[in-house]
Amino acid sequence: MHERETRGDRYENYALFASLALRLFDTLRADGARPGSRDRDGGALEPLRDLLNGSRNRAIRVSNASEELVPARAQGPEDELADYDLLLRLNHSLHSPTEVRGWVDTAVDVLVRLEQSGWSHLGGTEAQFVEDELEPFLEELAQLDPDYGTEELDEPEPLRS
Amino acid sequence: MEGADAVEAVVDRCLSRLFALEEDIGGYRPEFSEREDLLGTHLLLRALHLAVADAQRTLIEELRALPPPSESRRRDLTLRLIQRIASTVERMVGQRLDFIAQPHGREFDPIADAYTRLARTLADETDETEVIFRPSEPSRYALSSSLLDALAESLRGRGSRVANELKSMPTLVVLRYPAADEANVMQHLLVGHELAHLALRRRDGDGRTLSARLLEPSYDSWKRGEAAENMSEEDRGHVFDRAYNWFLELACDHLGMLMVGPAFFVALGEHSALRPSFHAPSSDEYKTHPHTAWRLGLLGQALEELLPTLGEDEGDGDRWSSVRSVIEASRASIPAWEDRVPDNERKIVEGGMDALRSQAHSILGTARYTNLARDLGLVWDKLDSGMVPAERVCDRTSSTEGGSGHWQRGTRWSDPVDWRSIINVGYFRWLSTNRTWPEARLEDWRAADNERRKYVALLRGSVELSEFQREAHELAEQLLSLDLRSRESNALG
Repeated sequence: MHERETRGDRYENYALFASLALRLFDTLRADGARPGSRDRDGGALEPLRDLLNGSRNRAIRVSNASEELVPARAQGPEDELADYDLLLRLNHSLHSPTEVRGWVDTAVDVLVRLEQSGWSHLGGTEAQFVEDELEPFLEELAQLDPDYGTEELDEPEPLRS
Repeated sequence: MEGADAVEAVVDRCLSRLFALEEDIGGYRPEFSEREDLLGTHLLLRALHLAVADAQRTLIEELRALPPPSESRRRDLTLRLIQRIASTVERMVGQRLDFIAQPHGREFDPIADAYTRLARTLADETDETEVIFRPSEPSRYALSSSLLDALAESLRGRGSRVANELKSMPTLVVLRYPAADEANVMQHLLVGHELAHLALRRRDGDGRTLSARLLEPSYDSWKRGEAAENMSEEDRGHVFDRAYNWFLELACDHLGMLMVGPAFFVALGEHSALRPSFHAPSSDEYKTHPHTAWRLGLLGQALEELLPTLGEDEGDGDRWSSVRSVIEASRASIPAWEDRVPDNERKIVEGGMDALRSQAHSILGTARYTNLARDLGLVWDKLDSGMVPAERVCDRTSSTEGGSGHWQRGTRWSDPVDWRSIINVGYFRWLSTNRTWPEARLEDWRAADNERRKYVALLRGSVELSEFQREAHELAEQLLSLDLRSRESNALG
């Protein structure tokens, strides 16, 4: 697969995971984790965390030479760049690597705390962040066109992979 | 009732698309049933079938658990999810079916197995790898990412157990080659570049790719320097992206040449000369690929170190001179590139290439090609005599004819010639003896092309024979290890 196809797969999956996460948050907000809802929809949060961490890695890479990079998953720099670009495109309040790092840190922290609480309830500061920040981002992500941005790749490239 | 009808219509439509996909997959099976060599394709079809069946089940389950109209938000989210699941599977499965629609042909077949063996050697040790070869656009060699990863991630994200089944399957990749060059085994040495990507994709315990590990020290060093200091964060990011992409390609050229032999340099030269931009190089024409003149220039430098290790200084002086003259002629046709590569990217890439060169042998392991000195004279002489250079005869004479005569169990009469020797020597020989231009008449060009085709066909047939012999030896060794004779005598006793 070429870059275009690989990116299409990534976007398709991100849109799917965003749809699952939106339903999970809606369920948690209404009446806590229903039986099976964590198993059914909770699996989407891990790859979404990977997207966020990939963006953060990229932000670190361009802003700070001395900091150790902590890969969130089996990810190369090209994946991190794609994630970073996507986050900037869909979250219009973020404009710089520093802002990306700050937002991602909070988002990942909220997701981890939710997981540690056993998905019992979505409340307090977590609920506020989810409602004000995460869900609008996920709504955009859930409607992502997998072919978005492919016109950039229409250049001649020999022996590519 | 109207709401319920709308829901049914959505689900019905989604399921109908999945049923159509299932039929598409089923349609491929009889078509490929007699192609046992297409192992990767058969595995892919099985994986796609599982994914579609799983999506069908999931849609039915979602429909059964659909929230009532009073929970409109969740009901709406579920319906959107049903549509998204269907579209994700449809896109991913459909695309992969398209990859296998045209399998590699008979003329590519002699080298398909040889390259597949190399791929298995190069890929991650913990993983099995199957390559699906696909004839494709002109001038295009390309290696896909793993065909099942995104599909498995999709399934895992929605909690499907089928994800584990897909993860347990071998890594499947598609390797595209120019369809118009299907039969050209000399040109297909460029497959070596694509397979080298498999080696650079290997990951360490922290999930970092080998390519990133090789380049990052050089990038970090550059970033602490004066040039990076005066740059914006964004510009530094662009420099890194380009340097990383360029390093990947240059590294694969280097590893590809070590893997398939020095004629890789000539193959890349011939391939590149077809591109108009080759003759009018610009420094940053490509985001993802360095200019070909730079690639060839670096390979030309690497050849100076490679040829002595392949035995250039040992015996067969005339043959080596011919090889050398072909290389020099190719090198002379490379446009100037030294002043056209941006300094920052060049500095980062050169650091990475130094790291690569120091580790190249351990990265390639047994995939490295080393038999040129041993096979150069043999293959060249056989081709001169119009013989198929597929085997090295060890001993075919009886004792009365001066041979060792006494055949012992396990003694070989002959060995298959390394397929890479056949193509490398054949390629150099062709270029050293057929570089005169035909008269500028179409029929002369046609005649010259026919000659080359016939010659390439001879090399292709030689590779096929040597591969047959290699397989025969492997089967013989397996049979010997069964020790049928002693079992038979035990049974009789």
